[in-house]
Amino acid sequence: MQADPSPPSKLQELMVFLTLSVFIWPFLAMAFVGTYGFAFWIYFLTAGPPGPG
Amino acid sequence: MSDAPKRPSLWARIRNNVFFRVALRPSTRYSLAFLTLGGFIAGVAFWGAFNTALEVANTEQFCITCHEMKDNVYQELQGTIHWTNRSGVRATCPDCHVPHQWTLKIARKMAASREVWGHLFGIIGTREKFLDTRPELAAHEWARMSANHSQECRNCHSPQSMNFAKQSERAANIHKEQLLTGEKSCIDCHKGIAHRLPVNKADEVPAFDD
Ligand code: HEC
Ligand code: HEC
Ligand code: HEC
Repeated sequence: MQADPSPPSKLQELMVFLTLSVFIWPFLAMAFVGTYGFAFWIYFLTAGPPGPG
Repeated sequence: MSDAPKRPSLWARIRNNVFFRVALRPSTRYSLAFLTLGGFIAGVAFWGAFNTALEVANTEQFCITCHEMKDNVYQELQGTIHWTNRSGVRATCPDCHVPHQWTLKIARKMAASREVWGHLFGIIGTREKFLDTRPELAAHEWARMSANHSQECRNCHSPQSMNFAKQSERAANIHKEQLLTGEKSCIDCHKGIAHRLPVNKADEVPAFDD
C-alpha cells in the first residue's frame, strides 16, 4: 500500500455512500436474484419441470 | 518504445480511482451508526420496491399489456367458469400460471424474458401465428402442471374438500378412482378449461367451419 494521499472530504464520502447504497448494492442484488432465477430456468429446461411440493 | 513509462496495472488503477479509494477505506466523517442506519433504510426500501414490482408483474392487468395475451387467451377466458361463477371467485392468469414458491416464481419471471423477446419479434404477433404455435405452448403448460400434480389448480381446489355427494355421479366416481388415489391430477383430465384447446391443422374439418 502506498501512503494515503489525502483523506476524503465529507462530500466525497457522502457521494460514495449514496452511490453504493442507491445504485451499486441494489444493482448487484437484482443481478444476483436474476442469475439465481435464470439458473433454475436453465436447469428445468434440461431436467424437466419441477415436481409437486 | 522501451523507455516509455510503464502504465500502472488495471488493479492499481482501480485501487487509485477516487471512488474506490473512498469506498474501500473506513469513513473518516460518518459514524458507524449513521452508515448502518443508511444501509438499513436502503435495504428496506429495496425490499419493498422489489416485492411491489414482483406483485405488479403478477397481475392479470400486467399479463394483458401484451396484445398477444389480450386478444387471444384473455378473450377466451371470459366465456369460462373461472371468469364468472356462482361463488364470485375469479381465477386470474397468475393464479393458474405462476407458481407461489419463491424460487419457482423467480425462475418463471426469468423465463418470461423469452416471452419479451418473442413479443419484440412478433413470434405470435398475429392470430394465425398464435394458433400455429398454440399446440407447443399448451404442451409446455400441460407438462408443467402434470409434473407438479396441478399445484396451481390445487391452490384453490382441494380434492380432500370435494363433497362427492354434490358432484355428478360421473365426476364423483372418476375423482374417487383416479384423483384421490393420486394416479392423476386435474390437468390430466381437465384440459382446455380456461382457453380453447389447440387445434391440430391435420385434424381440421373445413366442412364444420361456420
Ligand atoms: C383462483 C382459484 C382457482 C384456480 C387457480 C382454479 N380454479 Fe377451477 N374453479 C374455481 C372456482 C371458484 C370455480 C367455480 C366454483 C363454483 O362456483 O361452482 C371453479 C370451477 C372449476 C371447475 C368446474 C367446472 C364446472 O363446469 O362446474 C373445474 C373443472 C375446474 N374449476 C378446474 C380447474 C383446473 C383444472 C384448474 C387448474 C388449471 C383450476 N380449476 C384452477 C377456482 C379456481
Ligand atoms: C381422472 C380424471 C380426472 C381428474 C384427475 C380430475 N377430474 Fe374433475 N372431472 C372429471 C370428469 C370425467 C368429470 C365430469 C365431467 C362431466 O360430467 O362433464 C369431472 C368433473 C369435475 C368438476 C365438476 C363436478 C360436477 O359435479 O360435475 C369439477 C369442479 C372438477 N372435476 C374439478 C377437478 C379438480 C379441481 C381436479 C384436480 C384436483 C380434478 N377435477 C381432477 C375427471 C377428472
Ligand atoms: C383456470 C386456470 C387458468 C387461467 C385463469 C388462465 N389460464 Fe392460461 N392456461 C391454463 C391451462 C390449463 C393451459 C394449458 C392449455 C389448456 O389446457 O387449455 C393454459 C394455456 C395458456 C397458454 C398457452 C396457449 C394455449 O392456449 O394453450 C397461454 C398463452 C395462457 N394460458 C395464457 C393465459 C393468460 C394470459 C391468462 C389470463 C388472461 C390465463 N392464461 C388464464 C389455465 C389457465
